[in-house]
Amino acid sequence: MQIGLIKYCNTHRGIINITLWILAVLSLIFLYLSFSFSDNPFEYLMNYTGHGAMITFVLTLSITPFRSWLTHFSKQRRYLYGKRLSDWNFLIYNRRMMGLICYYYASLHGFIYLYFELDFDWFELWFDATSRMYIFWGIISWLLLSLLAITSPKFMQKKLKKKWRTIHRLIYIIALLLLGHILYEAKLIDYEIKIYASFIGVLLSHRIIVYLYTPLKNKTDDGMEVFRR
Amino acid sequence: MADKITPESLFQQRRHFVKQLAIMALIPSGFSHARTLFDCTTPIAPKKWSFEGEDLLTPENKVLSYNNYYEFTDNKKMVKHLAKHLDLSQWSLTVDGLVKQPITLSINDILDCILEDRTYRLRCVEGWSMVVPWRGLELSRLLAMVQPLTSAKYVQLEGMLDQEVMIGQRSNSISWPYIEGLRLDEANHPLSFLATGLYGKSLSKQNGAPLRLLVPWKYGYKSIKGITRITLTDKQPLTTWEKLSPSEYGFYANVNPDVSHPRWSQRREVRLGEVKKIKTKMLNGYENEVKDLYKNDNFNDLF
Repeated sequence: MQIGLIKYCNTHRGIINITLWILAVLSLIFLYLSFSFSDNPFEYLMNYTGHGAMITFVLTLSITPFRSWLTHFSKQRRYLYGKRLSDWNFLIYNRRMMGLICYYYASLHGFIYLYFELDFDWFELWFDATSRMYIFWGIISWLLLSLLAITSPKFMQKKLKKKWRTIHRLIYIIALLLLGHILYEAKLIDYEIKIYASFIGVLLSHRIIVYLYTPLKNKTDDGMEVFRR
Repeated sequence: MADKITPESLFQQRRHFVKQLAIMALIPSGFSHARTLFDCTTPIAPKKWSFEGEDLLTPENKVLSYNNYYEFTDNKKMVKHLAKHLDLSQWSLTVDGLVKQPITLSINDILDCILEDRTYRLRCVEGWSMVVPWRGLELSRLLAMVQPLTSAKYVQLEGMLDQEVMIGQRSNSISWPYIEGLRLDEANHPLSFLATGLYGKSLSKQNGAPLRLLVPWKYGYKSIKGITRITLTDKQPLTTWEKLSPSEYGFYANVNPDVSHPRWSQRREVRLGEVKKIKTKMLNGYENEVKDLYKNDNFNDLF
C-alpha cells in the first residue's frame, strides 16, 4: 500500500501539481467571496494572504529536510521502498509549485497593501518603509522571492547550472527576513509568531546540523538530480 | 430624552431608589448635602458635535461585534460572546481621591441624570476607526459633583476586576485592573464623555457597559471600558498600556499622524466595514476643539 502510494506520486507528479494549483485558486475564490463579510475587511485580506504566504513558505522550506527524514524513517522501519532519497523525488518536483504559490500569496499581500492602504502613493511607501523596518524587510523578501520565481523554470535551471543553487539558497535569508517581518508586526502577546519561528527554527537547524556534521552529508544528492534526466 | 430608552416602571423604581439613598445619606450628613451629590438632573444645554459629510455612521452590527476588550480576550470577535456572562447587578462607581465630596454611585444614579447624545469618531491605535452615536454625560459634570481640590492634577480611571468572567484577567501578561488616566484639564474638556448607551440602546457589555469613557481626540485605548473607580491624584497615573510598553503607548496618546507607531501606520485608518484606508486627521479631526489644551506643550512629545 505504502509502496503503491509513493510510486504513484512519483509517476503522477503532474497531477499533484495541478491539485496544488487548483487548491490555491479555490482559496483565492473563497477569499474573494468572504472578505466583504468581515468586520475589518482590510485586516482580513492582509492576514489571509500573509498567513497563506507564510504557511506555503514553511512547507516549501520543509521539503528538503522531510525528504531526508522520510528516508531515515523508512530505513529504520525496513520498508521495501522509500529507503533511497530518490524514492521521495516527487516532493522536490512539487516544491517548485509550492514555492510559486507562496510567491503569489506574497504578491497579493503586497498588492493589497499598496492599493488599499497606500493607494499607490509611492511617497507614502517610502515613508512607511523607512519608519517601520518590518515593511522594508517585507519588500526585500518579496524582491528576493521574485528572483527565485523568475529563475524557477527548468530552462533557467539548465542555463544557470551551479549558480542556480547559490541563488536559491537565498531562501534562508528570506526565512530570517520573514521572521523579522512578522516579529515586528505582531503584538507582544500574539502566539502565531512563536509557531512560525519554531517551524523555521527546526527546518534551518536541520541544514546547519547537516552542514556541520559530515557523515550526514549526501554528496551525491544535491537536490537537483531529479531534473537531470 | 432618557425615557426613550428606559421603561416608565424602571424609571419610577430608580426614583424610589434615589429617594432611599437620600434618606440614608440624611443620617450622617444632612439632607442638603445629599442633594448636592445627585445634582445632575438640572437641565443643561446639549452640545451638538457635527461632522463633515463623509463621516457616515458605522453599521451597528460592526460596532457590536468587533471589540478590543483585553479583560476578556485579545480575539476581537470573541468578546461579545464572553461578555454576555458579565454580572452588572453589583456594579457601582466610586469617585474619590483629592476631592471634597467622595461619592459612590449606582448605575441608576447615573441614568437619572439628564443625558446627551453625542456622535464621535473613535480611532484605534491599531489603525481602524468607527463613528458611533453614544448617549451619556460629560465627565466634567461628574467631576463637578465631587468638587476636586486644587491639588488634584490628574484623573485616574480604573476598570473592572472579575477573574471569574473576565477570563483574560487570569493571565498576568497585562496587570489588572485596566488603568487609564487624563490630565484634569483634559478630563474637564467638554468632549470628554462618559457613555451609558449607544445607538439609542443601553450600552452593550462588549462595548464597556455599564459606563465607559470616550476621549475622541485620543487613541481608543484611552477610552476605558467598564469603569468602577475614578480617583483624582496629583501624580500622573501609570496607565496599563504605558506600563506594558512605554515606547509604543504613551500617556497622552493624542491622535497624531506625524508620530509613528512601530507597528501601525498612524497616517491612515480604515473605517469598519470599508476596505480602503483614509487619511487620519490631526487629533482625529477635533483639532479646533482641543488645541488650546496643549498650547503650552511641545505637542509632538505628547504621544
